[in-house]
Amino acid sequence: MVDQQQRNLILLGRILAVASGTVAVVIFAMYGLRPSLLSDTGLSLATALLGLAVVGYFISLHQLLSKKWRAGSTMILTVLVAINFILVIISTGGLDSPYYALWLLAIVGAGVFGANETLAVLGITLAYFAGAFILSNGRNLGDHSVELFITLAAGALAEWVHRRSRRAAAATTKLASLSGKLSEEQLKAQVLMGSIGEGVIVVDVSNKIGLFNKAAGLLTGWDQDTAVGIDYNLVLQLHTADEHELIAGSDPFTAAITTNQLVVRDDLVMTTHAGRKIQLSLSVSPIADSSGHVTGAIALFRDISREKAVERQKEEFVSTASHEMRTPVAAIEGYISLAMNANVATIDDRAMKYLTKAHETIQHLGELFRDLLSVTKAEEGKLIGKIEPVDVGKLLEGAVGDMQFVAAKKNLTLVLQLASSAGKQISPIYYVGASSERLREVVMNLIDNSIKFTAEGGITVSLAGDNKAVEISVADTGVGIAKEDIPHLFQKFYRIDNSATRTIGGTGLGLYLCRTLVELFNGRIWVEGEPGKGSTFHISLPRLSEAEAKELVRVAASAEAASADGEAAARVMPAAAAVAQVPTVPPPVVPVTPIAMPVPELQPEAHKTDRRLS
Amino acid sequence: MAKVMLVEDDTNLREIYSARFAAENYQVITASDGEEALATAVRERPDLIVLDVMMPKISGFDVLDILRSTPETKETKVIMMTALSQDTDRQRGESLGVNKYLIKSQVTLEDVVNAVKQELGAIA
Repeated sequence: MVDQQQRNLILLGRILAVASGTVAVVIFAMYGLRPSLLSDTGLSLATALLGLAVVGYFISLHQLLSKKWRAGSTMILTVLVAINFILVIISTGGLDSPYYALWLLAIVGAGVFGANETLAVLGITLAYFAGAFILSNGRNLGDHSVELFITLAAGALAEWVHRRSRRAAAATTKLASLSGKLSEEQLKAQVLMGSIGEGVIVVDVSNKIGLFNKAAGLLTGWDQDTAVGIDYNLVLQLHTADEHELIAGSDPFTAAITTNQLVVRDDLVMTTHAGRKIQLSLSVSPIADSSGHVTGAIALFRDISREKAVERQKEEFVSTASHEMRTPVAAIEGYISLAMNANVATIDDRAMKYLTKAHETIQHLGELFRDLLSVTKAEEGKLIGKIEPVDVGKLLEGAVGDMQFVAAKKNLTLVLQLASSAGKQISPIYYVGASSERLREVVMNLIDNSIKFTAEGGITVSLAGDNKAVEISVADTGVGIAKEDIPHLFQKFYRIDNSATRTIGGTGLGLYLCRTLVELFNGRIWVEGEPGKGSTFHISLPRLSEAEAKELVRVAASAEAASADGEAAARVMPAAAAVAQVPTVPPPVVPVTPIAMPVPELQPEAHKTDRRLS
Repeated sequence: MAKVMLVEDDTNLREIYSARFAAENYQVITASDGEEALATAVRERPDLIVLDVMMPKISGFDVLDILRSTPETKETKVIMMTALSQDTDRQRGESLGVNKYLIKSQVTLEDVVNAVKQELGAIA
């Protein structure tokens, strides 16, 4: 507003100066060329001189005063020029002057420059009228009532013009300030985006990048300007940790957009522009407009390679430590066992009692380390080896067989029920895709738990299935499980907090591991039961058809063959090296050299009958 | 009486197993690494070898390999003791001709003795 006003005043000043100057020049010219044109020479010359004076004022004093008091100085100018104009009008016929129209224009024009100017000009005009009226005793006024009316109308018009221009100026200023604010916000956003440590990428539904911040550029190695507008798949090359390409549907951006939900992944690896691989923590949120329609997605990501490395180090440490601890544990167990053995040592009853307890405890400690190691492996994804078709019936037979001894110790029965329709002797063979060793451990863990929590009666292991799934159940007649424990049962470290069962022991990791394993095999595990009425644990696994089982074997075999060749070669070497050193030991009975000859043949052994080792 | 050879690098475990086997009236011979084991096995011809897997210089697998390739020890009963619980390792042992594969953290001393008895009983 202020700037506009100042500009207006400057302009006004210049116009006034020029106007006055022009008047002076014209009058002088007329005087010089044709004095007869001037009706009242004296007045005209006075007018011209005033005009010159105005110009003189404009050039000198006005400039000086304008620095601090432009408005006031311009007002002075206005008044002087107004007087000058009045003189022109008087000298050219007063109210009948042809230049009166010009004067009216001036009044209207004054409106543009401000209320003050309008008032000044109007005021002077009315003063003039008043003067003329008084001087001529009211006679002239009647004749010039029209001019008076028009003058007042002009004044009103001027004021209207003034108001309009002020509003326009206000609107322009508002627009300018809004525009200024917008630029400010834009700048703020840019600064914000630029300072965020995480990479930010915004894409639309056609996969084009709309926004790509500085951190995104640094992480991906792509230039900010280049990246905007191109398909994000080119810039953000993602794949899973084991080098597999992301299946089109499981791409986090697609997932976020199609499901309209936040997708978080910390298992992806990105390949930078330069070819480096970085592990990312990525979260993608869908962007929806006001009607809920998804218009794109915004992704935040950061490099977690270092965090992952630290995690790995921790896991390795836990793994190594657990492993290391098992040696002393084995030694302690062994020594205690020896002490308790009558053939080796002689002890009294009390010592036997205490050593028995110590023996149980050290076994418990061993289990703890074992579970800890398993959990670490589970988290590293190394828990299971090969997935192969497993004959569930046979596996259960083996597990039940091995656990008979433990059940018998508590006088509990342990039976296996294979599904067979009434009358049929042979039950179908159920194959599932799993690691047979791990699945066996799971089943044995469940049986072991049942034995632990059952005082009398027995445990029944049963197998059932249909075309799609195979179900293993372990039912016992034990203490049962309280309803509030059921949802937590398969969680890490959860132990049933019940005085009756506290003494039973356990690490709280068993069922967690069971669940992890079962889920790794794409199955489900759950429990049913009531306190006092026993519990039944169920495992459901997807059933493999004959064809699928064969395929699994084929795939596994080819992978095995590829690695077996390398393994065989490696094994021959140490054998040869070892043999070469044997002669240094006191002469063996048999000549050493024959041992060097044969390359150990790797023949797949026929299945031994008793492969169920404890 | 049965002759049992124990191949184990840990001193404590060697003492424990020796004492325990002696209590069963077995004649016990020990070796603390693979090389010693091979030489001793060929010389002493034990009825059964309890073989630790994780040993310095050469592993139990390699020892087994060589034992099975040596005519004198080809038929000797071998029980492998290991801390490794991976399927692949068990299979490796079995493909090399082990008689029993025991995972240290899952068995007690008595379990080992039972396994030995079982294997020796199988001969008689």
